[in-house]
This record gives sequence, structure tokens and C-alpha cells, in this order.
Amino acid sequence: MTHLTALRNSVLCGFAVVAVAGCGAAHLTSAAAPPVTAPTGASAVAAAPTPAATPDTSGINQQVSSIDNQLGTIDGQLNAANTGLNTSEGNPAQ
Amino acid sequence: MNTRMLARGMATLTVTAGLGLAGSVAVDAAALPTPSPATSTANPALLSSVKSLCNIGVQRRLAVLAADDTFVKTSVALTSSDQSTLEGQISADENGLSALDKTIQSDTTYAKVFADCGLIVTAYRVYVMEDPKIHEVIAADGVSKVDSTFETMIPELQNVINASAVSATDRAQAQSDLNNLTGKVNASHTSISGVTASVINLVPSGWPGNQAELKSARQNITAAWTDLSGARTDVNNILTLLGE
Repeated sequence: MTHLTALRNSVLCGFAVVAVAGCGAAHLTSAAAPPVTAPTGASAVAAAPTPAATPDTSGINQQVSSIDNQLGTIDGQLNAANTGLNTSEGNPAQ
Repeated sequence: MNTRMLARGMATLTVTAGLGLAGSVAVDAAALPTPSPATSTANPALLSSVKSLCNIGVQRRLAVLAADDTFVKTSVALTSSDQSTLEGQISADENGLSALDKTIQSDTTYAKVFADCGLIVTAYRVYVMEDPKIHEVIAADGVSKVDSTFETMIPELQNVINASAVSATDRAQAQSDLNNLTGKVNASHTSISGVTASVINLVPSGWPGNQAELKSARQNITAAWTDLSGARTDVNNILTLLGE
């Protein structure tokens, strides 16, 4: 009876040792594995710290260019109008 | 005696008009001597000289109108309605002046030549009214176009400010600049409101009273232009603060 109990304990102990060893091995394998590759363009961004988005100002730059052109034209037209407003027109031949 | 005085008057006219052509003297058509019909055909050569001066005056005005027409046709700021209105006015002036020139060249009396030549000024006012009016309408419509561009840009600039990672201080300054910009665009919009309508249909018969409208329009356009230039500087400041 004593032998049987001792045998059973030995077997249980063996299972326990194997189980502990297995858990350790599993843990080591997990730590050594490369990180999960995220689907392109999705999880990689989400996983990284959130950076400030870079605003697209190309549209604004185009509008600025258009405004610059228009302001130049307006200035030219104002100068042309000033010429006429500062002129007298009494002579038909002038 | 009358013939001699008339001939002297015409000679004086020729000389002074010639000086006027050189750009140094402006002669008031109303001050020209009034010839007597009875002696109007006394000097065909002198009559021809006066007609020639009248023709030069017409051609110069046609050149100004042609240049104005090019501005009108190529402007990207004019509304289609204003463009059509101005083109119609320019075309009417060109046709009228050309017809007037033909009339003058076929006139046979001094009195008729003087009267018709005076119409080159009084019936068209090309230099002092038509030309500045056209430039003002182009400029005023240009201001409206710039206002519209800014109104599109303002919310985009706001988005850029909101999304920017600059310091809180820089962001606050950028926001302040955007607020200034918005105020200037609004002021420009107020200044330019009604300007085109106030001048586009001015006619020579309203001269010199309608000169006040032209000057008021110029003042409003200038104020709007100054505001918009300031708003343009604000855009630069904002983009610099945001590191763009």
C-alpha cells in the first residue's frame, strides 16, 4: 500500500514537472517570437504612439497663389483708373 | 474782317491743338471760337487740318477702348454679366466714335466741324469716365473674387491650426491671426458691396456729376485692397507659425 501511494505520488510529481517545464518552454517561445505583423496600413499606425497629423496645405498654397495674382491685377487696375480720374478731357484732339 | 479773324482763330486752334497733342496743353473745347457759317468755307486747307486733328483724337480714344476691351475679354475676375455689359459699352463707343469721325471728315463747314469735333469729348468722355469706369469694375470684381477665395480658405486654415502639433503659444497666435484675417475679409466684403453697380452704367451725359461716383468707388476698392493685402500677410504669418 505504501508502495502504491509512493508510486502514485511519483507519477503525479512527474506530470507536474513536465507541466511546469512545458509552461516555461511555452513562455520562452512566446517571448522570442517576432511581433505580429499588422495588416498594411492599419494596425501599425494604431499601435504606434499617436503623432500629430501633418495637415495638407497644398490647396491653401494654390489659393494663396491665386490671391497674389488677383491682388496684383487689382492694384494695376486701380492705378489705371487713377490715371483717368486725375486727367482732364477738354481737348478733342488730346 | 470776319474772315481774317476766323482764319486767325483757326490757326490758333491748330497750333494749340498741336501743342495739346504733344501732351503739354489741354484746350477747352468750349472756349474755341465760334465760326460764322457765312465764312465757313473760306479756307479748305485749314478746315482739313482741323478735321485731321479731330481724327487723331478719335483714333487715340479708339486705342484706349481697344486696350480696355482686351482687359475685359481676358479678365478672370469679371462676372460674365459685367463682362458682357462692358463689352457692349465699349463696342457702342467704338462704333459711335468711328461713325462720328466719318461725319466730321465729310463736314463742309467750320461750324459743323467744331460742333462734331466737340462731341468726341462730350458724347463719350473716354479718358475721364469710360476708361476709369472699366478699370474700376474689373478691380471691384477682382476684390469679390479674392473675398470668395479667402472664404474657402478660412475653414481650411482653421483645420490646419487645429491639427497642428506646434506649441500652445504658437497655436494661439495662429488662431489670433486667423481671426484678424477673417475680420479683414469681412471688412473688404463690406467695402466692395455695391461698388460695381454704382459705376458700371454711368453715362457721359452725367458728367461731371458722376465723377463723384467714380471717386467714391476708387476709395472703396482701395480700402478693400488694403484689407485683403493685410489678410494675405496673415496667411503668411499663420503658415510660418505652423511650420508650413
